[in-house]
Parts: sequence; C-alpha cells; structure tokens
Amino acid sequence: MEERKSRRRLAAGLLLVILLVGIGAVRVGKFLPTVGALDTPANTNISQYYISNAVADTHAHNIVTAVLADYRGFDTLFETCVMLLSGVAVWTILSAKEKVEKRTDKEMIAYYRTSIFGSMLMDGAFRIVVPIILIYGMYVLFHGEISLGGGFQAGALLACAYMLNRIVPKFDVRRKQKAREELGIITAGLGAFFFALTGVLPMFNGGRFMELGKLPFPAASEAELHADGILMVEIGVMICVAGVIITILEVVLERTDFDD
Amino acid sequence: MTELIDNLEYFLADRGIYMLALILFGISIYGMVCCGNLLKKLMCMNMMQVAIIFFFLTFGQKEGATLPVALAGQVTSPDAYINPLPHALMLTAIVVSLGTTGVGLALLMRIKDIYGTIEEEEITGKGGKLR
Amino acid sequence: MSQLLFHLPILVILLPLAATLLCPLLSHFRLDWGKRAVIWGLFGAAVCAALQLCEVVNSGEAIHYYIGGWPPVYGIEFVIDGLSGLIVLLVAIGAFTTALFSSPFERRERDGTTVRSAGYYSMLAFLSLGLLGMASTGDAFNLYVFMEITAISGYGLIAVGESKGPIAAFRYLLIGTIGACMYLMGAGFLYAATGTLNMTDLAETIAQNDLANSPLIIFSIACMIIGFGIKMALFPLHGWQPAAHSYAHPGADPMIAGIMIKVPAYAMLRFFFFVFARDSRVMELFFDFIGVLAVLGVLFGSLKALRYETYNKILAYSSIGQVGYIAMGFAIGNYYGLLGAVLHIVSHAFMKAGLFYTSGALKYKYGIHEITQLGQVYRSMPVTALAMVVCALSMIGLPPFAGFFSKWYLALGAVQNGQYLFVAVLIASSLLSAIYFFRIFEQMFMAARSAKTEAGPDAPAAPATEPAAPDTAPDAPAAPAAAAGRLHLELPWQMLAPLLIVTAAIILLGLGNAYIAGEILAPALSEVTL
Repeated sequence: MEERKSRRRLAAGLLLVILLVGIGAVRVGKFLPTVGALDTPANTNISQYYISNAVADTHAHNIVTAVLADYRGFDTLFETCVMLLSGVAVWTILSAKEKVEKRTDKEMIAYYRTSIFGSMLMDGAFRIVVPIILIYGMYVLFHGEISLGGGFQAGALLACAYMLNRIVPKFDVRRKQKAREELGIITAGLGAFFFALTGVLPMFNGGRFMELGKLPFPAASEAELHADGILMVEIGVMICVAGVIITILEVVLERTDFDD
Repeated sequence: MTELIDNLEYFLADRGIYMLALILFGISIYGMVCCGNLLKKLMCMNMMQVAIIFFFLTFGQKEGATLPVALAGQVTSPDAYINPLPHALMLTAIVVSLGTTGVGLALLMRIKDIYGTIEEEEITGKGGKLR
Repeated sequence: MSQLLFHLPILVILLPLAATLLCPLLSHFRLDWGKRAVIWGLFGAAVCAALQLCEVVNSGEAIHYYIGGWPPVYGIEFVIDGLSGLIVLLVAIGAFTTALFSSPFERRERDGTTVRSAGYYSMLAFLSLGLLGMASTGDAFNLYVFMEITAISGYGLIAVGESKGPIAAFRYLLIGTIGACMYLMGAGFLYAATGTLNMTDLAETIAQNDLANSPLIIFSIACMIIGFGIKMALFPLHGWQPAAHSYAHPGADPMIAGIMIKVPAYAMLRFFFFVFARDSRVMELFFDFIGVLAVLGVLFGSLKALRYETYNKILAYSSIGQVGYIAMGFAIGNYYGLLGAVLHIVSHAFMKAGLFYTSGALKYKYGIHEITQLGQVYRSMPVTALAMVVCALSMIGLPPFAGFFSKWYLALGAVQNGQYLFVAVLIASSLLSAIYFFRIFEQMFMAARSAKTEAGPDAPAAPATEPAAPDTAPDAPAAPAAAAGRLHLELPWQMLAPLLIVTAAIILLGLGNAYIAGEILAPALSEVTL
C-alpha cells in the first residue's frame, strides 16, 4: 500500500515535469526550421551533395542505399553488429533458463496430427508459400540498389520463410534435431564477417577501409565497383539478419512451453 | 469548424510535428517511470525511440519533393528529392531499437523465470529489491 | 610496414571485430579457440593503440582516417589526437586485461555447451569494440551507434552476472536507453541547426555562423548533458549504476565499472570543449550547473559508500563520487582543470578496474562479497592484497600514485579560477574516501581470521564439470592438476597478470604524469583552453 501511495505521488510530480517539458517543447518548436522548407541547413548542407552525386559515384539509383551502404557504410557495419550482438545477448541470457522437456516421438506425431493453421489444406498452402517468400527475399535483396529494399528486409524475409517452415507440421518428425540456435549465431557471425571482409579487401589494393572503389575486382569503372561493393555489403547484412532472427526464434521456442 | 481544421493543417504543416514528437517523447518517459508492469515499461521505451525517429525524419522533408530514388538513372535537381541522410540514419536507429527491445524481452523472460512475475511490486516483495 | 602504420586507427577496431565475429564459429569447434581469438584480438588492438599514440606524439599532429575514402564531411572519419589516442590506449589495455582475467571464470562456469564461453566472450569483445569506437570516432551519429553497442553488450554482461543481475540489467536498459535517446535528440538539434554531423565541421559551422547562443544549440547542450550524464552516472542520474556495478558478472565487472563510465565522460569533454564554443555566455551557465552536480555527486557518493558493508557497493558508490571529480574538471574548464579531468579519467579507470579485479579475485577464490569476511585474507592472497592497497591509496590520493596527481591538477585549476569551494570539496571527499578504504584495511589486516571455504579450482564442483569438455583440458594453462605440481600460485596466472599490470600502471602513471601532461595531452588541450 505504502508503495502504491509513493508511486502516485511520484506520478503527480512527474506529470508536472512533463507538462513543463511540453511547454518547453512548444517553445523549441518555434526555433526549429519549418517542416518542408527547402532552405534549412539540414536540407542544403551536405545532403545536396548526396543527391547530386550519389548516382554518378556509386551507380546506386536508391540514394538512401548509397548513403547507408557506401558513404556511411561504417555505421551500417556496426548496425549489423548491433543485430548480431542482440542475437548473442538473447542467446546468452536465455541459456540460463531451462529448456522445456522434449516430447517423445509419439507425442510429437500426435501433436503434429492436429494441424496448426486450422486444416490440412491450410498447412499445405503455407508450405507452398515458403519458396515464394524465398524468391521474393532474393528480389528484395538484388533490387535494393535500384529501388526500395535491401539486406535487412531480405534477411527478415528469409527468416520468415524459415519460421513458416518451422511451425508448419513436418512429415517426418523423427529426424534428429541439431542445435539450431548455435548454427544460427555462427551463420550470423559469418555474415557480418563477410561484410567486414568486403571493407578490408580494398586495404590490400592501396585503399582505405570500406573504400569500395578500390575493390580488387575487374570492372569498367570505379562506380561499377562501388555498386558491386554495395551488393556484397547487402548480402552480408542479409545473412547476418536472417541468422540472428533464426537464433532468437530457436532459443525462445526451445524454452517456451506453449501448452500453458 | 473549417477554421479549426485550417488552423490544424497550418499547425501540422508548419512546426506541429516537432511538438507532437516531443510530446510523444514526454508521454513515454512518463509511462516508463509510472507503469508497474515491466513489459509496459519496455513498450514505453520503444515508443520513446519511435518519437526520436519521427523527430529526425521531419528534418528531411521538403515541400513538393519525392522519394530519394533516381528512377530514370539520373537526378534532375537536388530539390526534387527529399533529404536521404536522416532516412539512412534512422534506418540504423531502427535496427538499434530493435536490438534493444529484443534484449529487453529476453531479460523479461529471465526475470519471469526467476521471480514468476513481471510486476515490479511483486518482484520487490520476492526479494528482488535493488538496494 | 608504412602501409600498416597508415591503417592503425582502423586496425584497432578491426582486430577485435574479426575475433568477435568468428568467436561463435571457433568456439563451436573447440571451446577454447573463441576465447583465445578474442584475447589475442584485444592484445593486437592494445599494441596498435600504443603504436598510434607513439605516432601522434612523435609527429605532433592528429591522425585523420577517412573511412571509405570519402572526404570528411560526406563520410565518417576517425580522429586520433593525443587525447583520444590516450583514451583508446586505456580502453585497449583495460579490455585485454579484463579478457584475460575472465578466462578462469569461463573455465569454471563451462558446462560443455558453446553458449557460456562464446556468448560471454563475444559480448566482452563487443563492449571493448564499442568503447574503442566511441573514443576514436569523429562523427556524431557514429558515436551513437558505438554507444549503443557498448550499452547492449553491457546489458548482456550484467544479466549473466550474479543473483539480481537480470533486474539490474533491465533497469539499466531502461535508463540507458533514455540516455542514448537524449543524446540522439541532442545530435538531432545540432543537425537541424548546422546540417552536418562531423564534429570538426560542426565546430567550424557553429563558429562561422555565430550559432553559439542560438536556442537550438542550447537545447542540444541540455539534451547532451542528460544523455552523457546518464551514461557516465553523474550524480542525480546515477540510478542504474550501483546495482549494475555490484551485480555484473565478476569477470567483466572491471571493464563495466572501470572503463564503461569513463568513455562517455571523454565524449562529453569532446563535445563540450571541441564542438560547442567554450566562451559563450550560455556555456558558462551550463558549466556552473555541472559544477553544482559535481559537488553534490562527490559528497553523495563518498557519504553513501560509508553506509555499506558489501565490497562492490562501496566501490560502486565511490565511483559516483569519482565521476563527480571528472565533471568538476569540466566545470573548472581552464587548462589545469581539463588536464586534471583527463588524468582522472585515466587514473580512475585503472584504480577502479584494479579494485574490481581484487573483488573478482576474492569472489573467485573464497566467494567473498562482504568486507566483514575479509579477515586476514592478505596471508593467503598477498598479491591481491598488495594491488588492493595500491589502488585504494591511489584513490585516497597519496603522493606517489596516480590518483594524487589528477586531484592535484584539479585543485590547481580551481585555485587559478578562484573556485575555492571545489578545493574544499576535494579535500573533504579525500578524507571520506580514506575513511571507507581504511574500514576495508581494518577488516583485512586487523580483524580475526574468518572462516573461509575455498571455492577455487580444487573445489569438488569444478572437476564435475571438467569431463564435459575433455578436449580442452590438455591446453588449459593452469589446470588444477598441473598447478598443484608446479609453482603454487594464489590465483591462476590469468588473474595475477591483470592485477600486476594495473598496479604497475598506477605507479607508472603517478611517476610519469609530467610526461603525459606535457607531451601527450598538452598539444590537444591547449587548443581549446586559452
């Protein structure tokens, strides 16, 4: 009871603070540039360079991709690392939680006989969707340079396909289950390593880290090499993201009892 | 009535979005302190990150400009495309917030495992007081 | 060779990065390999950091490394001057010793799965990586990304720690995210005002367009005080810190408690003195505000530390006070004040890391948490006791050790500015810290021998887990059977080496402070102070 009273007092005090902050926010708003104005510092300073030169520099028609994977590719490397790190952290934190007891084969078969999505037909339909999602994922990956898309989305799609495949009943349930979570995190690590390697390769060719124009591949022009480099970066990101999502899924599935 | 709508439109088109984002920020901090349920706190944290993302994206808007994709393979004028930099930055911030939320949820699973609850008061009652 | 020297700033990041990314794979084949890769990666980073600091000192100029070959405003750049080079070296040494120190813990907790070693070591290496990046980068948004890497690995390492670890980690996650968001908002205001994210360019734009007193910059400064304040546990924003530092994994605690709160302090210095115009009216006000927080923090931390009997809690609260000293240096703001602040960042990082090494060693050998259990422990653990005494005396501020000189410069700066209140607080808090450290000494040297059960490698629990990973036993350097036959050490050598390194570093920093101040820091700091 005591606890609740003090909490209420705290809440009242905080509300006051937030009201003050709100009034402050209205005041800040006055000093910020008008939304949509063309002549703000944010819109005139360096972003004009990106818009005017990105296509010529990198052959990536999507300027956001060019900024993300090339001009500020170093940020993206560590963004991928954050993804991997969250996978590692979830894996490590939940490793202390006990695994749910594995069902026996008989129970598994009985469990899988009751279908997941309502009817056998639906289950079959979801099986058909899986390869289509995979193809769409690839499309999103390779289209990221020209239009909207990219490695993160493609990785999420691949992981989606895996998830569907995982929760839809399998026909042969007795196949040995390996430690999938571990393989997931290893794959994710290798994906991020591939990204880092793409950045390191130019260093052997007289360039700096992430200087994609100096990749040691044969190409017509430097911009072409930048485009190749962006594609490699996206592939690395895709592998990492897919691996991390699969890891988190497996870690949680192994330790959750959905029956209760 | 129409006058009100006109005013609202002017408000939003001028600088209102900043204020809305900052108010969202304030609300979520309020929620983080005052909710008793740890999962709600985590949701408020996520809201706060979304507020920041909105705030940043507003800088990149340009009147009458389109997506920063050079469809024809060449750029007509810099003013015809919205600013790509905040978008690229916020893609990174979104992934970061995703990672933070994931770790937070894993921590909650662990806390539920140890104390059997994610209500702050009950955890305090079960010896989970941090003092 | 010159090629290699050219790439030094990025190699500092890349070596641990490669080790981290491959750590799960290597651990999958053999449990020890991932761990060794991380330790060697961090050792390589320490060597590279030392080399690059030498180069900066010899050439007298800052190194600018443009990542991706893009000129600085369009891409991201690394800036290594004397100041950031010193912090990078500090982080790299701390990371390497901590990775070495964790190794016996890892061997004891090993349960035959990859998770324990690979997960723990990946997170430790990511933590070091984030701190190294924060210290080297010259880009405001890149700093945010590294800050979040640091924070997320910190949450993980606290959560795998002792009993209340998960709750402490969850609280830190909430508060730490508020801090990071506040920083990001501050960077957003800066971006709205200037349209750039590169720190050098930010400083130039602010100076050229005379933005120093513009409202956007003021809001940005306010947001950043809160953001960095939360990350460095400045006094009223320290709520997450005591629990996080006491319940973190004992192996990683030196890194979390010693170094993780220092690098945001460095970043605050970088922003406030190198980006924002120092001589504006508004900054004066903000520095007065920080000064008040610092004084309150110093007194609060020292008084609060007196109340506890748990070793880690005493250390955690004393950290709040010590961070107050650093903030005090910012508030003083003249050359000696800044010099004192930077020296205190370095020396306190070593002292606190050293004290947490001793805490981890006590936990490893006897499972000691409370200072009342310390009775006569110096007889069986002389090296640990020596390190504890050196670190504690340095914390109090006795002359030959590092802690004295940073306090000396702070006092010098305060006197130069006529801020005698700061001098009084410095002296008062030194006395308070003398009281709480002598309480520990009293328990250790004078109290009667208390019953201790050895939880070391000879304990029955350890051999039970050993057969789970038989392939690793032969190449474990201090395996129990081998250690009994050879020289009998009080602790495994992986734990003794960090203790000795830190002790030596504190003495060397104390003796060589004139060199550090004159040769390394003076060129960088004299730019920003008049």
